[in-house]
Amino acid sequence: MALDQQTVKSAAALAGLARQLKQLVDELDDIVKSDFDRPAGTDIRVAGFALTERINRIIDEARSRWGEKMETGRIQQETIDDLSKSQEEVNNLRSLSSAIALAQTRSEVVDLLLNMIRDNIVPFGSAALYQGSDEMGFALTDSWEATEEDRLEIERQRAAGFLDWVVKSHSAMAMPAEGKYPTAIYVPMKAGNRVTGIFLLLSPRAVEDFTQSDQERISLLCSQAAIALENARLVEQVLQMKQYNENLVLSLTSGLVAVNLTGMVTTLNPAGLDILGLNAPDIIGKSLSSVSRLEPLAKLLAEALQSGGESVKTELTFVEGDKKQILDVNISSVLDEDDRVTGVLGVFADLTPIKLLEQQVRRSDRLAVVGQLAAGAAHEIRNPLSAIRGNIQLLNRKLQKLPDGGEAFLSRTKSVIEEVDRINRIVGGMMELSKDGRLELKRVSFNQILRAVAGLVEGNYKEAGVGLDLALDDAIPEVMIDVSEMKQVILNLYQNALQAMKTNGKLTVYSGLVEDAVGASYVQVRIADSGCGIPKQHLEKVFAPFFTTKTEGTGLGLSIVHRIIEEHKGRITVDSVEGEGTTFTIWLPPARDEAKKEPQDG
Amino acid sequence: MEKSKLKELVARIEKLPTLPVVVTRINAMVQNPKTSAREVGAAIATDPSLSAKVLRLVNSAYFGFPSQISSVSHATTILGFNAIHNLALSATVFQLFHDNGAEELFDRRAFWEHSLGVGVLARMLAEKVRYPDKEEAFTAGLIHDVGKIVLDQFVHEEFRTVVSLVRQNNLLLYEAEAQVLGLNHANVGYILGQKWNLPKKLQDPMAYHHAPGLSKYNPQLTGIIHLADIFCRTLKIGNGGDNRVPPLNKEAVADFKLTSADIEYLKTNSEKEIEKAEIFLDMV
Repeated sequence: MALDQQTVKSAAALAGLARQLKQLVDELDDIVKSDFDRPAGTDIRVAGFALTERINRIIDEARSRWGEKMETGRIQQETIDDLSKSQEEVNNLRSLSSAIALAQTRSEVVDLLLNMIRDNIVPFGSAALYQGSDEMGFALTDSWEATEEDRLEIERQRAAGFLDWVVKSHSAMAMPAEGKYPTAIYVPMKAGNRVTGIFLLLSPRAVEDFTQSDQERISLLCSQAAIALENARLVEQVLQMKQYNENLVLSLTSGLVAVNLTGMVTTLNPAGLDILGLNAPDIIGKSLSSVSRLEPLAKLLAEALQSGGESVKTELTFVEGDKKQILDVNISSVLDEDDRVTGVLGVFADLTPIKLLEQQVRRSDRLAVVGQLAAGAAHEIRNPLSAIRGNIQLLNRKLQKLPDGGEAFLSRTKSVIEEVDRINRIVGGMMELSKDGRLELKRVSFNQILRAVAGLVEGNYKEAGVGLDLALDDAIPEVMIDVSEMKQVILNLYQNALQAMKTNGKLTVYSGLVEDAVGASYVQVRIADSGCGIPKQHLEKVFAPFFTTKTEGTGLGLSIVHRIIEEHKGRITVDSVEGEGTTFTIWLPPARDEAKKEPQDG
Repeated sequence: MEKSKLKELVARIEKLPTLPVVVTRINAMVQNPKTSAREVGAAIATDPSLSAKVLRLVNSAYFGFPSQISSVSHATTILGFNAIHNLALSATVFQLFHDNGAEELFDRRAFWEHSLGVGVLARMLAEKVRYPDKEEAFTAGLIHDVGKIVLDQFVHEEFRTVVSLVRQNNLLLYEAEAQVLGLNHANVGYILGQKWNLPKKLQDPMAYHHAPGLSKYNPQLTGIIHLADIFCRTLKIGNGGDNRVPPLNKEAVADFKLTSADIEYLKTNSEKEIEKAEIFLDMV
């Protein structure tokens, strides 16, 4: 320290002077001693005067040096006092800057910083923050407690070029300002060597009262803040990235499941929870095998963990009681930066509805094939049948000419003809079944058909003592249908229903407009009887050709109904409870607006 | 050179003028972080001519501040306490060794131009290598060769021998000085720094700019001055007393990591920057 040196030098100089003084005093001593030996006339005074001069000069110098020493002594004491105060401040500063380092969000950092400066270093009224970079320039991003007047002054300062000066010089400065506050303090915030922002504080303290210490402390806090802000920005970026990734997983419509090396589920997205019918708290952190139904999936994931390599694509079936679920599953390994397996990922979709659809398509196909066969066979049978009938008729006539009218034989031939006719009807039915779907479509309201055919069977129903109730919604839209075919359908259904019911039964017919799962609308017709119902094991086969539990009838009725409905691009299903009743439900697409309206007929 | 002769030389050198009190006071004040700008302004005001010089300098194109600075205390908070200290020092040094009418053994004007050049280049280098105080680098550059003037003024006859030796054999000045005097101008610089009680940060460049490896307190600034000196000689800015370029100490400058682009930049812009700094020559 310079002061120490000064003291040492002063002391050395004093010592030197003392030595010189001693020398002179010795000389004087000699002169006085030799006085007695000196011959008269020698001017002692002259010699003495010369010496006195020198002594005086030395004494003066000693005095000034002594003064210097006192001065430095005083400064030293002051310094020691200041040092201990500074130590306090340093500790203060240290704890303040740790507080800034801990702040996490941008606004926390800035608020802390401004409060710290205000409370510990210099008071200020309003503040402004410019942010940006050397390359892109700086723009005013925030201001605190700035009145209109303050804002004007801030703008004036910027226009005068002081901001640019600070950007260039990279160091803090205090400037005289105009307006309410006498001083504008600029503090650049540096992260490393880059200036990331500049604080401008308008302070009531006079410019001249600023000390180096003020400047240094503000700069220190601001550097700390700059780093903290940079950290806060990075943290925010990371959080945003994390949020984005989470959103991606949440938004997936496929299920996503991830397990770690111990087989515990780490992730299962909402779509996945939905498909598997699970709740997050029940499965996250646990193994999939804790749900017995999901055992196949747990096994697949475990295998993938072991083999740790290629992706696997497969279908899995989960069975629980009589519920079945089919999933399409893609498995792949999760690797870290060093290509080590850290877990396994599975993406899955529920195939069950698709499988159902596949089944329906196959059934339709089957039915279509059968229909084709039937048509072919039917055609072939017609001719021989015709021949048989013809011959029997002939035989009949011959028999009638016999003396006893051939009574005994006539009943046989009658029987044969009846059976042949029956075969013909079956054949006719089969051909009907395989009919090539050429429909004559008209635009009508289905209710019309329902009412018309009800009129046809009314008599039969009354005779049987069974009720027939039409609960039709007249607001349903029109449909495009082949009227005669559809009448056949409804007739068949009404007649079947009647056969299934006893006295005091009731048939109720509903019609209405419904929407399916994907929002498409259909005209829905329900024909519900209170009859004996259909046993569960037969329900599936009810529309199959030749299926019948009745003693008579061809067993082709419902399969023809099914064909006709399908040709109209509709659907028909059956629900039944044994002993309670059966409901047939038909869905038909509403007529499109472009179709022409046809005149109504009964 | 015998010890006693050397001692005698040193004794004569030590008669060089002391720094004006105001500068030592400012030095002390700047060491004390509690000093306010007002106190600095008041201290400088005790020497009106220094005050005027400082104000001229702070308002010159050298700093290029966008508005007029009206007082030394304002200059202190705007440019910084250290900057004002260095300015005061620079403004004074020139004055201490002004023309005293005696025969000059080398061209003073060329000498000051060289010193100014080294100062400016040192400032530019300081910015490039991110030395924390540019103004300090400038001052260090400005005073690095003052030892030569001291020799000229206080050891005049012997220095005459040195100068003719340089001319005869085209030696480097410090080589001739060592031969004739047993010490060189850098050593004198060291003595000067001690006598003036300069901060150790400023003493080292004066003492070791020809041997930067020896610097203890401020190897970075010493390296900068070493490099700036060589630069100025290659660019023939002013004259340092001899006509050769001293060898470059590669280790001293390795840490600066200067690219050829940096060097181009320095070459292209040094003239402009020196022009801005010429105001300092007015202080001589």
